[in-house]
Amino acid sequence: MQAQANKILDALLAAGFDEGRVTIKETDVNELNIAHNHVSLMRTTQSQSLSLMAIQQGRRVTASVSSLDEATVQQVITDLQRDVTASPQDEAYAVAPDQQGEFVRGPQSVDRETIAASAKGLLDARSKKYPTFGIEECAVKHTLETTTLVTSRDTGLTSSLGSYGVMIMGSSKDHHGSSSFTYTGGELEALPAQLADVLDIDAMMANSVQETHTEMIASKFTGDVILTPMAVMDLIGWLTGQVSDLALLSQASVYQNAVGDMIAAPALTLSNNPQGAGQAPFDGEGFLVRPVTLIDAGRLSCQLPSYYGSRKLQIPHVPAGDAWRIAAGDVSRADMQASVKHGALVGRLSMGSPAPNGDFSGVIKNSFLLENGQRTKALTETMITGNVAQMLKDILAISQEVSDFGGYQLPWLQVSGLRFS
Amino acid sequence: MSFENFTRAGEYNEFRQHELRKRRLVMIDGNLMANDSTHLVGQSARVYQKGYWGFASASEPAGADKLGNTALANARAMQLFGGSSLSLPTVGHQGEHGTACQPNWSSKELIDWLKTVNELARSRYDKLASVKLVAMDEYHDKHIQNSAGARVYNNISRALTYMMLTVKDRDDKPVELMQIISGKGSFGDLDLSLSAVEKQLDELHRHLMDKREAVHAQGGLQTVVLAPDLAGILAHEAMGHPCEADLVLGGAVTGDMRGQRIASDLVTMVDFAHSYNGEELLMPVYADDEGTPARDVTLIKDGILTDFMHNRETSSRFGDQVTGNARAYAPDDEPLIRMRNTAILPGTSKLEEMIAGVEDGYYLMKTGNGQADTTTEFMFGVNLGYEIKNGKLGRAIKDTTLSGSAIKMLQSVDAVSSDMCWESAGYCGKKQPMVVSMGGPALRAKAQLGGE
Repeated sequence: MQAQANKILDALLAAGFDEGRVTIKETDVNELNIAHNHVSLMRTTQSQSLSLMAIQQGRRVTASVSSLDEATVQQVITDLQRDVTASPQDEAYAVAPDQQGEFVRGPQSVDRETIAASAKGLLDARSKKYPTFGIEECAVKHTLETTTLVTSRDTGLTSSLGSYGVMIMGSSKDHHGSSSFTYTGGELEALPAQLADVLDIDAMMANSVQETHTEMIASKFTGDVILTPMAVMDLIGWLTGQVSDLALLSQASVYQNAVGDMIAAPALTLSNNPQGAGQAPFDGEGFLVRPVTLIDAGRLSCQLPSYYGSRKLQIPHVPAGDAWRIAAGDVSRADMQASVKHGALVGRLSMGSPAPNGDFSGVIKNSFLLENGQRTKALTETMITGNVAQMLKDILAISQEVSDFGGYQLPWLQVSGLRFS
Repeated sequence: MSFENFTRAGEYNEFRQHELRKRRLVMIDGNLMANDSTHLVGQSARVYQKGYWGFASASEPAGADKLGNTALANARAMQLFGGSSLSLPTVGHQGEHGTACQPNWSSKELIDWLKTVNELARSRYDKLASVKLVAMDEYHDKHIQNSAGARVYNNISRALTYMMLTVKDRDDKPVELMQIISGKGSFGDLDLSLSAVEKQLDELHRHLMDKREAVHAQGGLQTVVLAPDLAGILAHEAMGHPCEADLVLGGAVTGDMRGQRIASDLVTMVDFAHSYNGEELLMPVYADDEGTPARDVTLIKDGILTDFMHNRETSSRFGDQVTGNARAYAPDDEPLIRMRNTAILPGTSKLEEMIAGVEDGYYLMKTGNGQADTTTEFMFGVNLGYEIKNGKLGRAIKDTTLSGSAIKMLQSVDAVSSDMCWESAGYCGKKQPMVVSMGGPALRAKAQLGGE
């Protein structure tokens, strides 16, 4: 692959481009699907892609195709030559310089028997422990992704990245009614003997079967929320979006000039997790992912622009990857729950994108009312309103327990001051 | 791509050749952030054998025989789980269906248009913090054959632009609003003339200035008038997804409600296959990706829940007619039950009269994303809305969320306008993305609004 990538890079430069980046990716997936509590489908997919980025006189163009035959490659280069002339000139366009590495991570071959055994174990656990929970959809898969990335600035990277992945979604139904759907999932280095023991799958089913009988809150109030890890992911997604290209380049980020500022409670430390299962050792631009602490004891340490964004805004480039972990806190989940006078334990937030200033209102799903430290009834048709940036500052506690989803490693967060309606 | 010699491995077998071409250009304040094109080609086979499906795909041409045999081996590998076979419908469509597009715009024409619109917005409006512009198009070409005799060529294409303006409010916080121009076919089929764009930007900017001074909505149960743009997403999220037969099998509450009243008798809702009132719709599906002839599915008739949307397997399980709702997004995706053109049908009221009849409520005009649930509890973001006080529009409201039980909301509908507005922008997400369209009139109902 590397020889082929270098040959295509040479062809790009010979066609008159000043700089170039070539990425060849081959992906093999073996996936077993469960639908409605029964194994339903086995998938085997093999795909490849060639992605090119080229710069000519400060103009940039990119293209991707799924064929690597010579005629296709030549046609893509011809199309790039045509299209690059329309691109505006921008000195910030550049390719990754001086990145080198060869990586082999994770299981390099699929064990289909283990996939089948894991699926069977999950189905058995469901029917024995949580018979009213229905698995609407579940995928257990092995992915092997082989990538070669070269640039005209002495970057040469290869990786062979294997991982198992699990996604499960379902809901419960009994004589009370149906629960909201719920889901969890993540990446694993190896499939365990009991799939329900990982990725919070057992906890998800245990909660779901208690959510068929739901009630609305009696009246509006302001209180605390305890966000479980799947809801915490929404918080992190908003934050990383605010310190990435789209928000920063349009001057619309609430953290535009906030590096060094306290933007969260001192208890919060958020770092990337490049060693997590299934995590790529380099990013799509061709930069090695380095360890990054984005929020250090509440203080914003850096922003996450792309290489282009960093050159455009003249701020440091921080290649961080896509996986994040929050350092464990000092409160047990039980004590955290016991400390809430009036609020909710929130499994999932169903909402539109928060406004650019962080304001949001969302429906809390898979959630339970907390009253005087007790988890009481499952909730329906309940919304919370607040501001995401303010929520980060209003974190009261972080749990000692951390759930591991492969890339993401997240605790529960207790946040004060949300309006319930 | 064309039709191939076809293997007949397994009890049922289908073979799809699929080409997907996409472009995406993003300009922020005159800077071209993305100028990407993607061209995916692939073949796939899916086999049904003794109760199990096997699927195989490759981006290099592998042929129907090889992929069919791999898919059969995958289906056989699952026989260890036991189970019994199901007799699948035997109907197969033959035909070729495509969108007749106007000549498409080149990347140069698109970039020139983006530059012009950026300059137009910058020169026309003071105090803009940012102008974000996106242009995207996509073309799906599929050749589908199956052991039921189907031999189908489908082409679906869509082009769209997002125009987003951002200003800062009094606290120096960003406030934004977006306008979408989208449609079937290519950019050549859209009205992207400067006069049309200018008119839409003026309207967008007027609302943005209102939103800059916006107030929080009152949270809780409110009387709301949904503009026609919003009724479509209500149809899609609130009752569309819970009427997909795979979600019904997964436990959706609709499973026990066929024949029951779930909405006001003013509400009729249909997932149209390809045409409405004699005109082809934005996402015309004449035969689905299982080679099944597509037909309209009436989900709600005068307030009564009637039918569900099916693929071959669920139509057998339910004993219902096939509907042609099995669709696959990418070359390596298997078909899933997806909506096509989902709409609430128009009534007889006038929008102005519907607003005039509200003493205290909200007029909701634009939406972001939405989400459905097995319980029919839906939500969608509201990016533009106004108070209604004593029958007149008042102050703009800040971004909020509309939610509630779709059944309760649809039962509260007391007026449906005679308008009909269709749109196709963004993607429906359900394991795979999917291009769909949605439509509807204005509705007046009660639902939960997020806010103070």
